Amino acid sequence: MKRKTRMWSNLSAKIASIPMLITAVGVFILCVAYSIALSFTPSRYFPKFDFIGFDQYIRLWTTDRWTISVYNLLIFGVLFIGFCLVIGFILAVLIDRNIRMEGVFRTIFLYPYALSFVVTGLIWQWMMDPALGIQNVVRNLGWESFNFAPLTSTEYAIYGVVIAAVWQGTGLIMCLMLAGLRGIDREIWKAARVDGIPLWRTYVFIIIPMIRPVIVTAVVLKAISVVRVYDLVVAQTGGGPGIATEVPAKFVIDHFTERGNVAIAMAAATMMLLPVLLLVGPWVYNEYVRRARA
Amino acid sequence: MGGQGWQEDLTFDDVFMGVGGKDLWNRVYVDRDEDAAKSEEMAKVFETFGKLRDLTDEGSAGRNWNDTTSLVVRGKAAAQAMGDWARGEFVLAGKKAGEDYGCVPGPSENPVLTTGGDVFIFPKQDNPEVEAAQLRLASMLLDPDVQVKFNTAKGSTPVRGDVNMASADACMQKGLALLENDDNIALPKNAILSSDTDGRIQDLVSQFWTTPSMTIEDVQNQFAEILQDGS
Repeated sequence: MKRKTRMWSNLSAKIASIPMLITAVGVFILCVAYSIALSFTPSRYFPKFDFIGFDQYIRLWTTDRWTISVYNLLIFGVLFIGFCLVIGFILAVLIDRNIRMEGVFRTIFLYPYALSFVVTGLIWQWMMDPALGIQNVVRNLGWESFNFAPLTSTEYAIYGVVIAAVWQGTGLIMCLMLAGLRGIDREIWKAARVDGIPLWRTYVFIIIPMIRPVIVTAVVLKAISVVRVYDLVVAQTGGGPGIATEVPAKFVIDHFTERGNVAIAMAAATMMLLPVLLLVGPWVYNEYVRRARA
Repeated sequence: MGGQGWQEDLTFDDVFMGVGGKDLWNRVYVDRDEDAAKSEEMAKVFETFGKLRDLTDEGSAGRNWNDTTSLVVRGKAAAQAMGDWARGEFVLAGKKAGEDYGCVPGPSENPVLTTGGDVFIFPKQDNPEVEAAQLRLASMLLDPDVQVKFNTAKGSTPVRGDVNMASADACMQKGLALLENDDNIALPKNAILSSDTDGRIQDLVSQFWTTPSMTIEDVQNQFAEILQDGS
């Protein structure tokens, strides 16, 4: 009897959450399971369920284009998140020092974020074009030996992509950091000044630990955009020169569509899901399961 | 050349046909002869292709084919390996074939044309009226007059051999002359290979093109491996 009343309590709330439940189970769990299952088959354009074991994974990891993609994602991820955090924090600090026309600067720095990655990619493709962009302008000003055309070199092209992404993404981090800085009690500043602690030490040892939650949010937001980066590369370099700026998401989409090899695309997608699960799993456990028990 | 995967691949095909010839092409792609893919002739194809790297400009990386064609039109580049679609850019710029610019099939002593085209497919349905309309569109597309007008405008060759292409320009005449002898016609590799294998070769060719340190032996082994492995 008691059980029954519990089941029927909050009935309307339970009905309201059914669509979300269907989406969560249907889209996330079933589709992910289906994708993983496909990665063990020889499917081309259409699913074909002959299980062939890890063949697709073996081919994946012996394909230069995939290993280069993974390597690029690591370089891109570390540099992009790193630079966004450092530059975003410095900009936030500068704005927080009560400068004049704060609103204007904030808008300028945040503005790139209003652009999509596709537009960002095209803008920087032109800026980095040796015959049209920055290099050409500086050379015409008289500095003949000036070199700035990262996208033409297989070695440096990925850094060109990082520059474009940092330009686009820093503004948001700055705003997050600024909100964090504004949330800090003014008394702490006074106390630090009374104790005669230098400004930079106040920031590094007192303020940064205090805005840790903001930094974690920023890293999570950026990490998500790193794993799925696709449009920026397509617009800016098309994965070139050669295959120097390929990324995993592009590998998946290209093989899924024009290459007509669903199985290897799903194997690659599964490999992309793995690190996410490995990172998110322990965190979810820590945040929810352990805390609920405590 | 514009440095995008498919353009590099297209130039590679040209070099393959020019240096290796149609026989080698068929042995490598149609028969999947591993010895042919690892042969001296094939090494020469990759070597020649590699040498062409010096003939491109600094702005090549990632450039679209039509921006590259425009460099030829404006006299800033000497030549580009492209298909008939590039002719539209010349027509738009008011240039005449045979006078302002020329075409070379090949370049080779025995030039070969790889044929390709687009298809129209009608989904199956039951309505007789729609079927009549489909038939009308199909008849119109293949009508001799329409074929002449369309191909003269586009610069391509007609899909039927019984039409009078006297209105064709100097570039098209070269293609039409080649079409007359079956020995000069080969299947493009995207018609022979699965899109997956074709794509892997494109990746390899593109990687080789942008990595001058890659050895001929290395690229040739990978090339042979892909052809043995893929469908």
